[in-house]
Amino acid sequence: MSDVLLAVDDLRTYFATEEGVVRAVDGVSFTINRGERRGVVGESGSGKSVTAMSIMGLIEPPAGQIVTGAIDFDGLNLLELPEDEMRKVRGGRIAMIFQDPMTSLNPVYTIGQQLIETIVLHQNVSKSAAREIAAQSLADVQIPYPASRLDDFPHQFSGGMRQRVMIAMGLSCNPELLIADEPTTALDVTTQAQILDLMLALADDRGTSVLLITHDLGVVAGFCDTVQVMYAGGIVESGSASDIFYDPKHPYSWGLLGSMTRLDAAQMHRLNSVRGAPPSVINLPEGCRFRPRCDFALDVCRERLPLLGPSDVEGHTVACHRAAELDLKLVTSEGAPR
Amino acid sequence: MFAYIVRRLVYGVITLFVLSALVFMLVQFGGGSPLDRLRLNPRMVNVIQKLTVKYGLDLPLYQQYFKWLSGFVSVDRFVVLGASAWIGFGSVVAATAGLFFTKVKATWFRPARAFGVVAIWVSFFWFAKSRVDFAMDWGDSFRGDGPVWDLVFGAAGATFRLGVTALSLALIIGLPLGVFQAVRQYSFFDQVGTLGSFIAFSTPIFIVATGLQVVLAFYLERWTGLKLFFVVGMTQVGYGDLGRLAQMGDIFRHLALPALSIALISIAGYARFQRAAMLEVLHSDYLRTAKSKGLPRRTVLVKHALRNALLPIVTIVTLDVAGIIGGAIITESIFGWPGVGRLYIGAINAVDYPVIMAIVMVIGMGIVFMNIVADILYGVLDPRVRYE
Amino acid sequence: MSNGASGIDESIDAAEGISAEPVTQWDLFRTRLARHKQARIAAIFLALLFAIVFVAPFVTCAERDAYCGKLLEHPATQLRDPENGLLLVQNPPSTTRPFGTDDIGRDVLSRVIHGGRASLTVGLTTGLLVATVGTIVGALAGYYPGAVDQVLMRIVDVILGLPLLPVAIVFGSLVPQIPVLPAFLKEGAWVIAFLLGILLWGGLARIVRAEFLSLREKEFVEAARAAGSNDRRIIFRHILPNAMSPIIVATTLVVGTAIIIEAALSFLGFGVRPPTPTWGGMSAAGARVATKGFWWEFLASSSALVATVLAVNFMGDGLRDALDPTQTIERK
Repeated sequence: MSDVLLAVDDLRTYFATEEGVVRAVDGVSFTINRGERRGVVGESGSGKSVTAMSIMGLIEPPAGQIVTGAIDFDGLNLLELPEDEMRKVRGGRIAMIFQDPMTSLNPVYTIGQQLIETIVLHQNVSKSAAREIAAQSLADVQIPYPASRLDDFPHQFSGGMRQRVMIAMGLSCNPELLIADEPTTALDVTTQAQILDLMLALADDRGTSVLLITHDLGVVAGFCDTVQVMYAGGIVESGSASDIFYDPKHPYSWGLLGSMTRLDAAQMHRLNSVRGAPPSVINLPEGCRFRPRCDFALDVCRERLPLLGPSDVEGHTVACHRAAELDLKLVTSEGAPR
Repeated sequence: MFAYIVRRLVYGVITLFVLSALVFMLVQFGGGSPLDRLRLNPRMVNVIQKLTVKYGLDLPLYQQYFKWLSGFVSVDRFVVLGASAWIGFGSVVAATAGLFFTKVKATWFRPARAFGVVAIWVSFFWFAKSRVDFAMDWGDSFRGDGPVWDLVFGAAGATFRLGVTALSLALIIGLPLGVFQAVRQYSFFDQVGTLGSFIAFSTPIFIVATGLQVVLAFYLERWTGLKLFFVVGMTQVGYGDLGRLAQMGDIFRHLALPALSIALISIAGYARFQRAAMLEVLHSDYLRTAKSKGLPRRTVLVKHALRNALLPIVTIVTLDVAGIIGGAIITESIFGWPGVGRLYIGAINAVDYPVIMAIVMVIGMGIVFMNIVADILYGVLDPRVRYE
Repeated sequence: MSNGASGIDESIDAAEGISAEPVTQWDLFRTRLARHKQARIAAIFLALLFAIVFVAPFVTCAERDAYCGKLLEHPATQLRDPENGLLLVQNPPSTTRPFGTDDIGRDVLSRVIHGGRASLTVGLTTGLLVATVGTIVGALAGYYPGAVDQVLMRIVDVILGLPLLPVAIVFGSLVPQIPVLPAFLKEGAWVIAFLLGILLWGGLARIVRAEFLSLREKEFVEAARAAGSNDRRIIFRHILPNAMSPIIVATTLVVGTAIIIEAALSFLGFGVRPPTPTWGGMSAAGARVATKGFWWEFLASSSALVATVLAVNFMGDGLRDALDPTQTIERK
């Protein structure tokens, strides 16, 4: 398709630590179309956030370094953009919302000051006009009395309200891509759905693509068009939300699904868990990175790293040597063949 | 906030009460009678008798203490020279009250108000100093140097000059040092700075002071013939005859070494603290937000990071005033600086208890006052703080 | 990883192989402390200092003016030239007297070594006093909120409100002259150590109280309480071990402060009185002659003092890094 907004190609972001090199993102490639809602799922440490920070250009050398790869955003190679050009993209064309709204706003400035700062930076408007826009964006995220609340400090807002402010700040400049890094993890269950609904509706209004990072499969199922599953710094499976939900091809995705409570399941089933712990990204196992935890591993899995390749379903890719032969739909969680 | 300040003031008064009783008892038990020295002379019996009655030294201890205390809190003289003082006083009070009670919603107003109040009070004291003759009844020095109030406030100017210079030096050098170290964390500059401030932090003031004296005054002159710095007193003999520029140079050459001696440990302390505070802010989530908004690095560092990292420093600096006073005591006695510190050491050696008591109390009051100032400043600068 | 095993065994093997070895807090503490280069050097320095100060009396002439041929002269002995009987006044450093002699002909090396005794006595005694009093008061205040807390913390407020150096000077100058005090409390370093102990415990008490306030609400304390532990057991077995890190770090800082204040008091003449050698007192005497060109006594005594305080502070820094349980091993 021609309306590809973001294309990430073979991104590798490494961190130097005392214990060795952490290969946080190790060969990730994907594309996002305009208006697409993409979900990124994976355990902590799977490289989801580092991917997002790499796109934003917020990896700080010398500790963190993007070793290879290309990030193409609407024809701009973000990795080679000069810093002042990159600043126009960052916050203006790509906005990001972070996990913890309690600590993501500067405590010593009012909400208004922080919103107006962003607006003045990216739009050619006066301070008073920026204040109007700021009030409007607070109204958009359904904060009551937006005009007067502009003069309040972050500590005068609840967690959910602060995340609304963050969303307002992110969307105030009508970005083309909104990266939301676990935006609801720190919130009450009751407000999670509200906030997500609001955020995605606003993004739809503006035609903004969304990259939604989460470890919550339910969120992805409910809100995303497409999903990519990440494990130990790489993408193991990618496809439409329904494909991955109803026809997972990778044992890890299958395991994740099995560990989730589902209200739509036809009958009661036992909750499963993916056994073992995620590998340390310093000493990645040879071959398939999921192999030590995999119920279906063969010798070939020990030898070669499987690459993300097409499956029998159009647009559904998977990185597993046994993807073609395994039919995980038929495997119940209790009777895994060994 | 008001109730909080009142509560802090009450605790402060209790502290001062304990302090005065403690020092008073100590001087009584350990110091012996201040008239002991006179006793060596047999012809002095009558004089001793008179002085004993005059100072109430024959009274029971607790009566002596309350005699001292009632004198300490009572006004000895309060003469207003001319009606203009009253007008000035009235307008200052009015302006201050106006500043305190106005409700302005704008965010710049809080710091501006604090600054305004401080400025008005400072100018008030400046004004009052020239137009009002005021003294408390702090007794007379046993050494016959006159009223204690006049002694202490005669020396206070010198200590003030030294202390303010040292504090300014510490702020001007220490804070930027810490900020740059944090921004360039793990760089060569940072490592040298960290090691340097560690060493400076571990070096007692008296070693810095004598070291500077020996190296920058004595050996510098011996090896190069240059006499850059003076090591005794505030001004040289014949200061009054010098031209204006030469006077300033003379003040600098006297002030530089003692001020630097006091400042060095504070420079190291502020740099260490500012580095830590800045690093914490640099790793904070809201700084990541600021960066993700596309703000220029300078704006991120100055507007978002520094503004937050300076908050805890306010407390540290106001509390360091006690340290600077302590440093002044040592430095003044090394550099023969005619300030409160040297007066204090002299009074201790002579067991001149009215002077000892007065200076200890002045310093104690200064510390109580600075503690409260620190709290108020913090409340003004940090919107999250609300004192119940 | 194992080669011959098959099936489940193998995969479990492999799964364990990739997860990190279990690391105890003690292991972490040791690696971190060992990695802190300055702390390592500081520890060696302090150990040497202790050894030297401890051994010194055995290699020193017992009486002044008695030439016994031991390694060190008595610190009060005035040395004379064996040929003409003149006092060896202000001799610069030489091979026989590596630190030279002072203004009345005493061996500076011997005096520096014996001067360390006062600093170490004050540092350790004050540290011990502060750790004990501060911990007990802080623990009581933090564990029993309400009246106990209020009373104790008001006392702490008063202690912390005292201007440290002026009060220490009055104390140091006048306490030894109070007639009713027992003799050991009036002499030398001990009186300073006790005075500083009284003046310095407030800060630690506040730290311990804050630790206790937060720890007493933790689940493991709840669990211990539910299991029927009494207050004493909870305080000493459950909370105190978890509060040890800040106590140790704060105590180290107090030791450094105490050494500095003792030296400052002795420098001003209100601490340990001459002829007992102290680094502060020697610095004062050395400073008087240093402005005449005789620099060695000042340099020797002040270097010893700075090096010791620096070592103590480096130890504190290393311990802080090593003891912080929330800190993982991070990039350097």
